[in-house]
Amino acid sequence: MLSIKNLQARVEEKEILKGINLEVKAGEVHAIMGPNGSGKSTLASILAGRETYEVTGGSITFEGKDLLELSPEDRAREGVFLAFQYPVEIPGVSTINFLKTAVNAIREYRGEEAMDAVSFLKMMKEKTKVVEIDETLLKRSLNEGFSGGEKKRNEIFQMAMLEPKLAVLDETDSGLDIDALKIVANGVNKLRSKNNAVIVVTHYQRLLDYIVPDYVHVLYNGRIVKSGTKELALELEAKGYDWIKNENTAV
Amino acid sequence: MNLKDLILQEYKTFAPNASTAVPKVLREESIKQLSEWGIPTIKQEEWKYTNLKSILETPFKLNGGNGKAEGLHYYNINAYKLVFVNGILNATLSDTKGIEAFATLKSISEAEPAVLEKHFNKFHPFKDGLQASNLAFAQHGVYLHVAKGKVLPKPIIVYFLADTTQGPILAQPRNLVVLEQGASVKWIESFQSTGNDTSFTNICSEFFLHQDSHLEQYKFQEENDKAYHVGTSQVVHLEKSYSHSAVMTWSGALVRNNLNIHLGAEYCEAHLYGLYLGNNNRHIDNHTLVDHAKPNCYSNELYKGILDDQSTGVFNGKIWVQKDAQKTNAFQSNKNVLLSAKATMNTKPQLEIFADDVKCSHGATVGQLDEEALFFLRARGIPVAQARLLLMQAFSDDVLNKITIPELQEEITATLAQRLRP
Repeated sequence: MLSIKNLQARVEEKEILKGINLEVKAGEVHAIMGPNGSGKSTLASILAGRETYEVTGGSITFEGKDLLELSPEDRAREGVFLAFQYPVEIPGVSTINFLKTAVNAIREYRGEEAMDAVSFLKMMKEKTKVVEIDETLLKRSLNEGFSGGEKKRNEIFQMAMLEPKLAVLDETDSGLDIDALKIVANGVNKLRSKNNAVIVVTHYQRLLDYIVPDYVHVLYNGRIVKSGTKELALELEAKGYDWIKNENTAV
Repeated sequence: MNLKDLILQEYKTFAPNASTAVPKVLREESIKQLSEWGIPTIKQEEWKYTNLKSILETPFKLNGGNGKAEGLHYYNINAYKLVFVNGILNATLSDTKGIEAFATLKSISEAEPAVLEKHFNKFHPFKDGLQASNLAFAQHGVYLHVAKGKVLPKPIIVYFLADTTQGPILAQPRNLVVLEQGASVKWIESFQSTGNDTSFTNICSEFFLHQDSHLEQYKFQEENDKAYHVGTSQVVHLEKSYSHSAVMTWSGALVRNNLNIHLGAEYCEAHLYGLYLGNNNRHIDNHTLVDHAKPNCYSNELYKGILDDQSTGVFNGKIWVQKDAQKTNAFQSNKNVLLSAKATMNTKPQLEIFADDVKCSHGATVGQLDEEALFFLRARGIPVAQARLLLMQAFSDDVLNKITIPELQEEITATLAQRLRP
């Protein structure tokens, strides 16, 4: 589904990604871990098409298409979804309002008919249950006055509504207490299927207790320095990131 | 001939036949002022950013010509309706059936002298050459006197159309709306123009609010790119009266809206809202004054603008809190979004506070559309143009929401969405 080859990127003059290789197949969950500043969020942002980063080399192929050639909106319409680390607040735009536009923009791209108001509301009701989000929140200005947990749940709710092929969760666990974390993870798990894939970007192992990954990659200093199965996450938790840092400065 | 001389000359023809409802001495004094002061220039502080020089040599016709109402766009609302073409009432197109049960409606030239004496020309803090000219020529325009305790069952909408198909037109309507105790009115002014020549509307509307009366007034500016507009609305409040003003401008070559509110008694409340959309070379200037003259009044002001291309916006918001006006609550906010590097916004809050027990706040911002919000919407699959539109609509919404007539709110919202679409 997703193939990243030797991806290099910088922001202004600073090199951040120095050759990332990653293969993700349908049905898989990949966790990307690493210390602060290792490039995790940069990778997530580049997948979604954030323009503050400049890709200087390598390629990203998504379902056979050159992802880097696509605008952020076309990536979303092809099925890429980014759950934001810091969900934005937009005064005057309700979640329902923009999601209706988004759902129909995606349907139009796929050559499907626009969804009528009744079907949209029905779908919305179903999906609010998946992430246990209060419907009244969705009628309010996006994320304005929401708690940290509500904001993150709202991201997962949007993911449920847009039904992406590839979901990238950028530190979705940050700032969540354990109850909120469980609800969010539970929502993600309900959306998992053999047809879609998830990339979980996280600093801590604890989210991976609830969203169990097939593969774990450790990103350090712009490169994936270790890949393994879920046991790697536990090892990291036990030994800390210094283990990785020391190993890599020693080389 | 320059504009001032043109007006002075026209006055000689006009004066002998002018209505005596408006006292002759007022006219004479005003025309003298125009002669002395001239048309405002950028050397005057109040006109620093708004330059009228491009119409000073235009050969305007002042007497209405033979204007036609073809192409006038009627709003889809159930309202009493008055149509002015080139400053002259077109009775055939107007329909105010039934209003007489609630109010006296006449031409300003036929107004009752006693009422006029009490309510006309009572507040003019920034009289300049143009306001003087308007007063000197006060002849055509609406005189609406709403009786004590009467609530107009539907809004009254007044269309001012400039038809320039026969050449450049200068119109100077003068309106007076008097609300007796407990009366209530929703008043709408719509400005439109047809033809390819220059039009200049120099209008003044006065509202006099007696105790416990309630005014909602709207001003919608949709004249074409050849239209110049200078309009002054003045609201005088007596005890416990309430006003709600919304001024929206999305077209015209140069538009200057003055809104002056005088809170002349205790426990009055005034809300002022403005929305302006600039594109091309449009120039939109909003000057507002809230004069807190007495204690315990409340005023709240929100003006928002979106400026694109080479357009220019001006906001000047004065709040005066006079020595007497203790326990004043006065709030002001002006927010602007610039869509282009060549667009300009001049914003100036101006608070003068002479009382010591007051709550006043003001804020002015000029910025761009939120890039992070834009990226977010795109990352959800919304094309960039549509995402920008969503953000601009969201920005405008808290002013558009202040139109309390639902069908009108819907229509203006749709019109502005169309206008913002790339």
